Amino acid sequence: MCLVCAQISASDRWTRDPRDSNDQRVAGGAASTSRHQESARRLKILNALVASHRLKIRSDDAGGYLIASMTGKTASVSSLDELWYTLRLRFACVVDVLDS
Amino acid sequence: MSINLLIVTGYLGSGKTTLLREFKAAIGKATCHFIINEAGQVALDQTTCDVVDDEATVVAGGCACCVKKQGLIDALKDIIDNRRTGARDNNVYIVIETSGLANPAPIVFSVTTDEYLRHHVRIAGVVCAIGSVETMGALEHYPSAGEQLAMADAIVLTKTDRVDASTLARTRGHIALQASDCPIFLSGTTTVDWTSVLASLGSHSSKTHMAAGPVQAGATENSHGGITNCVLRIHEPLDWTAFGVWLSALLARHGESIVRVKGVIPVIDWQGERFHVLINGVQHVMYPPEHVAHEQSLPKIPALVFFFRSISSHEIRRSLRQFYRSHLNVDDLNVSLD
Repeated sequence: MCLVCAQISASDRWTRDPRDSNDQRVAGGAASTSRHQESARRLKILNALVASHRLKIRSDDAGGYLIASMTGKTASVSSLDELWYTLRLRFACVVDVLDS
Repeated sequence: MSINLLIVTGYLGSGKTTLLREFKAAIGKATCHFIINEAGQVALDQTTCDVVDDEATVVAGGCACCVKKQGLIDALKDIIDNRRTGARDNNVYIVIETSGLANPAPIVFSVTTDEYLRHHVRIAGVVCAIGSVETMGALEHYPSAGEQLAMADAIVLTKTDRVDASTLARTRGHIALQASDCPIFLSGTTTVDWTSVLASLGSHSSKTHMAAGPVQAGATENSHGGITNCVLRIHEPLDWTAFGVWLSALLARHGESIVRVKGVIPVIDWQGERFHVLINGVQHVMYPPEHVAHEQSLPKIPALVFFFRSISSHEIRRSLRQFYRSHLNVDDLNVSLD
């Protein structure tokens, strides 16, 4: 089963939904299981990156991300690119992996 | 089936128009259409290119990467909507000749993010024309020439008939160093072999080979015109999920500094399956990742090539290793710099 090779048309979603075009190669419910596992692992990494900013990132029902701050401020984004952008502009959270 | 989009770039006077003329002769006008972008208000290239009327669309008065971006998008849509029937789409080429000052990256971004175009157009590649005579000067003094070179999937060294053999060899070696062994073709003494150029764009092997390009002995970075490149050798499979988060975060924060990333990486997914993936991105725009189907085309040591400015190769390597250490408890990710 391929989890990476994706003919993703939207370039800003290149790291996400890598199984969408390969679902036909995945038997039964394995695709949704894979998607769930991958999403959970990705969210774990993302939350570690924003933990010091007292932010929480969750999956939303549309396949995007929901950002929530301790003060109740929230934002919904549809892609990783949009997530980084929104974190910086609306939550003053600059994730710079070069500084880590 | 998508129409092939070929972007021909190169600095002012590098010989782009000559390449288009040769392309037309090699491919045949029935299967190609030209978009000629001219930074000035008056375009002459469609005349010198010997393509007229319905074969060429002129986008003049600014670069297609910036002020004429919408003009380019509109032109592409018009061509797609009005194309002649009879030819299969995958045998049709739309060729964009960028202005000499244009950066191809925003053009790629515009096409790949447009809701309509991304379903009708397949970017065949970026071909960069570089004049044998003025190569050193252009790369030395004009950052946009370096950006065009960094974006190239194939390079055509033009005007080879105007320099002697030793100069040509020196220039070719210099370009190979700068472009991490991107395929180089010659034009001047003879016309460029467009069939080979297109074949190189269409195969995994060419892009794969880029990642294994030779690097000057003892050097870790190559710098010219403000743009530096480095080769990051990947000695063990990378966790795809972590890699995707890391690279997207890196490009989101430093996309203006990292003008190009390309190469092949060994990947392991969460179930332990291993394979190789072709990575190809221009600034903050990433092409969809692709599997490398032919193992024989793989470089001996998979690698990522970064073209960048303002940051250092050591920062990139340290960042990747630190990321894996923090998030996956990988104590010593085995990646090295050439």
